[in-house]
Amino acid sequence: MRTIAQKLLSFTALSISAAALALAVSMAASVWAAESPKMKMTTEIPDGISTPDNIHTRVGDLNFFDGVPDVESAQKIYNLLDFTHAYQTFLDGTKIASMDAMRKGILEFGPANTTAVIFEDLMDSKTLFLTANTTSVYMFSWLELGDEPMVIETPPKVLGFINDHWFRYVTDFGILGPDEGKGGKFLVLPPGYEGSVPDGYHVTRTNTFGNWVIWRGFQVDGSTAQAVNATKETFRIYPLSQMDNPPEMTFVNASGQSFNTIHRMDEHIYDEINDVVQAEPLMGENPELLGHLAAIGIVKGQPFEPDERMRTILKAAASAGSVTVKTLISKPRDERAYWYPGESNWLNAFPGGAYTWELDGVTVHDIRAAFHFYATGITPAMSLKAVGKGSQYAFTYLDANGNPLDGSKTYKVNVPADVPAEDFWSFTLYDNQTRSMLQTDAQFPAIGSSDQGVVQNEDGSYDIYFAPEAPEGKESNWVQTVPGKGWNTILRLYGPLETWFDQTWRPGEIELINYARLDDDRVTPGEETAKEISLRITIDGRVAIYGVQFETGSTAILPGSEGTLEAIAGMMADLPDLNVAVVGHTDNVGGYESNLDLSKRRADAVVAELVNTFGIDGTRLFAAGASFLAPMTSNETEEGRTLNRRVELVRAP
Amino acid sequence: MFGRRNSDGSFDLYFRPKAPKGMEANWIETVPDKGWSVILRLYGPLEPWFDKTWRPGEIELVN
Repeated sequence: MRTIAQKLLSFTALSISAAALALAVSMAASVWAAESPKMKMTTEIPDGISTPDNIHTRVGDLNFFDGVPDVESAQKIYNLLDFTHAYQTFLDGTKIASMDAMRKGILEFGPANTTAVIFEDLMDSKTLFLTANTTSVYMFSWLELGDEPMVIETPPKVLGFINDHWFRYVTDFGILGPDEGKGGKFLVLPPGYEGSVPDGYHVTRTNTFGNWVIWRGFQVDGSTAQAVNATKETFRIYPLSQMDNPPEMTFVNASGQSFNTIHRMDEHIYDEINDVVQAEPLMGENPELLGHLAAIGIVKGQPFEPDERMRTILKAAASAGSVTVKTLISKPRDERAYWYPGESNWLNAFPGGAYTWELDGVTVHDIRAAFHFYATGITPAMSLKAVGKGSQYAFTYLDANGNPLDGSKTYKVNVPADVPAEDFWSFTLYDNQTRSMLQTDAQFPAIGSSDQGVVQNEDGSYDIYFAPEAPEGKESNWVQTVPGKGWNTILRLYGPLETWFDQTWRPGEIELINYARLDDDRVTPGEETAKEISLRITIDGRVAIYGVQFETGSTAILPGSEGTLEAIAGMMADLPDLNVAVVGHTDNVGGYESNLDLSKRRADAVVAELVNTFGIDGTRLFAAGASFLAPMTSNETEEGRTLNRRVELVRAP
Repeated sequence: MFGRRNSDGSFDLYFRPKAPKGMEANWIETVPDKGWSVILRLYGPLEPWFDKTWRPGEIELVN
């Protein structure tokens, strides 16, 4: 006899789409069971208890006999249920895959315990690593416990912590750890350890055999040497039983090396999660989450071998999970994710300072899922309000208008004066896909107060530009972006001060100051506006003007030119620090000398008009003639000659 | 309370709208055009239940 379960399993995979997220019951299309006869005991059944037998849903038409589905309908429902388990596994289990990707990345450099990966020359964009900074000296090891405690000797003056293989917090060490920055000996007890514990250690227990040990050292006067040497001199991992003769450590410099610590976003994320389930005792993970895993076949001690139907579901669920976390991180709905709700697009990864993502006794699922997609490292120290210590973060994927940041466009952000950062502040740009540093021509896609030459405005604020090419004169305040790629950024404040926490200081929004690539954004000939002229002269350093017309062979400005002259005057008012050369250009009819004279005298006329009629300060303007020496295009056609007869405004010193 | 026992000591029970003739005592009434489900309860269950050496028959469609 074939059981129902066998029939279900043999049923071929139905199409499962990411859209099949919910049963949308359309009552209009429902069919209730045939009326059954009134019996002696029959009573009126209250509304809302019984359901119809034939209903149309997003997963198809479902048919029941008085509450019992037929085989095909049951399969559709199980496909939906498995999808939700797989979707939930993606959202809540990304952290597990992320930690396993970290393990695999570290072990590329050598065995667990005896290998310490050090970024002696800082981490740059060749390393695929979730939202790393460009200033700390990152160092990490993979700790693999057996059945005895392991000793970790930690260096002084670091921010360090241990996370377990489920990506849960184990301990801090260093400045915010029990050694208070002095460095110390930590004893890590393996899962289930019941043996004796010697004195003289900072003792901590972990729920997994595999653990990520990460610490960040700090540059001193722009050098990493002190942090690197302190680690090489002191950092050791060894079994307690080998304390008298610990194995030698290998320190590997990973700076500039291309390697990956990022987990999968497709159906292979389930393989990564399975690797952890098989490797670790289950005691350290939440049974609710493990239940979602088990429902899709990730069960400890059993091979994870999804059949074709389940593989189809896993693929759809990973696709849905991937677009979900990307939405949650870039456009959160929860206003607690915003530093200044309703007023700004700067986001907070730890609302309420809760590194556990539990607020008022309730888990903030969406913010947690987004965090694990975007970042790495779980410690209470990260969200701690520590005035003058530690660091604070604001991140965004959006410009001031709520549009995605686009690497082909030019943006400006104002960092107001008196930045509340005792140590320094910085912007780092990240790739939206890898959530790692944006790969550009620069080694570090970042800028901040510790960079040489960042120019401060007169009012003490800074204007920082993000663009594929540096706007003229803004090279020192510019971070390169990549045309055709989006980006996002984290503003970091190191040693954050009170005005950050009480929000009396806040960063500007990221303003779009150019709408597209340069050649897509010409000033409209003859109908120039002050805004267009301002944009072009700011970005290109020059702008061609066609709206000022002269009598043939004369310096007399024709009527109809007033609008453009007013626009030039408006630009001069909008950019009060700007000096402008007004340069006359002609076509090549009539020879060099006469055109040189004419072009110079026409430029003089424009300057005179701007000074006399529009009240522009004459010391900000000077006139020059270029004859036919700098044509826009060929003089062989009348069309070309028209384009070449123009006045150019050029940024002058 | 139960009606007729078979010669081998087992019982045949019937679920249907009308009692089969002569089997009224082994019958539970059902409602035409309505489904149903059933719980078999064992009070004071004994070892053959737990070791599964005793098991109930499946519900067989008769007509």
